[in-house]
Amino acid sequence: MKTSDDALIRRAQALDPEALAELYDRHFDGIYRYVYTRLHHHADAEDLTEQVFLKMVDSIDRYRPRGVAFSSWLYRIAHNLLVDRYRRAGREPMELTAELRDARRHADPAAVAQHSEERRRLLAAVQRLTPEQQQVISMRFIDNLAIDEIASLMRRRAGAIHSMQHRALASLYRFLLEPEQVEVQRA
Amino acid sequence: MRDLTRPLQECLRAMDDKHNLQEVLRRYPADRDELIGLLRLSVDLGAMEAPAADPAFRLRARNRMLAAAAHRRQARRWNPLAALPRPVVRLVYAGALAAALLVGGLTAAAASDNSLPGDPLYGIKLGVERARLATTFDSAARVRLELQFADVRLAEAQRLFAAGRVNDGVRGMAQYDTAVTQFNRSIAGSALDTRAVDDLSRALDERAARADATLKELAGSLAAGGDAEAAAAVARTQSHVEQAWSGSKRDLQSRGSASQQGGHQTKPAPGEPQPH
Repeated sequence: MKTSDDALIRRAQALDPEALAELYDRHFDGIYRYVYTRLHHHADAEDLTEQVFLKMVDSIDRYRPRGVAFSSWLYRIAHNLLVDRYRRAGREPMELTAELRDARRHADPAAVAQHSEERRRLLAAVQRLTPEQQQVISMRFIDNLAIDEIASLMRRRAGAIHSMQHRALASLYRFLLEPEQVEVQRA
Repeated sequence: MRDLTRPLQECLRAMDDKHNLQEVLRRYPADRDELIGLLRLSVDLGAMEAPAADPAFRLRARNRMLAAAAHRRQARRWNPLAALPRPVVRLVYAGALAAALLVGGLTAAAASDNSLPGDPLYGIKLGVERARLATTFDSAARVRLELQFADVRLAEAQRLFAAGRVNDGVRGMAQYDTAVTQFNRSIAGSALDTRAVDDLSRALDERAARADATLKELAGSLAAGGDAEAAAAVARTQSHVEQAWSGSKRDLQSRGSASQQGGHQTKPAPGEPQPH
């Protein structure tokens, strides 16, 4: 961790409003998307994201910079709140939603249509992965978290996450080579 | 399925760090096509993103968080401990608890001073005596303490008899007997200088005379009250204690005369190495 981050966190631990606002601005988008990807509902995602940052204020004095990265600590709060919500709702955790959009911009309408179809097939294939593989894939590539952060969130070793990442991508690759089967699954 | 964990990891790292991906792929010619397929997938997945939050909500949630922080700051002002890091707070609480235990312990120790065998605080009294003996490293001072504790045992037995607790009084006599025997053993096993020998001799003469008078009076009073058994127990203790006092006196006298012959120096206990 950079010294400036250490200093920022120390100020935030003293409840300095500027430091807290800075941390909020740095992490808001990532946390919101992380939550939304798993709840598929704007109002729920807003509610839970707000809880994450209120909890951050409430327990930031317990955070120790030498332990885990601040972002991992924050994602852990989000993860725990999500797990609580899933438990209350009796839902399977970490299913990816079809509402994820393609962040790439295409000028050509034909390219837009083709990418839209590819995205639909890819999401259908992702939904055939095990919940744990979906979790790794979405944290790694959609939430853009580092392997160490994912390992910390899933309480696994980094090596195990690397291996899971490979197995998930290899399975996806295989599923996408069998388009009919994916269609059958969807039906 | 072949395990491409390591090559995939290297390729993804090269992409993240904007290094030359082709160089990495050249190292794995047999797996090149599959690796490219996996990397394309990772790019496609990375291109997917959840819709952004409503900017109004973003601002609202930010303000609520800052309001919560202000409220918490206010609470810290009223409670200065809340502003300290938690380990420090724990230390403060632990210190307060230790101080409370210390004060409580000292209070209990003081309160136990007048307790008698069978009282709830009597164990504390004996514990304090043992602690004082354990922390007294000077031989002469330790022997004097043992003499003092023998006096305490005799006073306790007297009070027990006076309170009509005859059986406890008889047990108290046995405790006194044990304390005097212990004193006698300590005299024999301690290195004492001439001054300590003189002091102890004087104290011993005075205590022996006083204890003898006390025990005689006690035995007489018990016999007069019709408690012949207790009176006999006191008499036995008196006889036994007298022998112990005599042994201690002889020991001290022999050390006194040796010191007069050899000058003013520390006298070793029997069995201790002789100074050269």
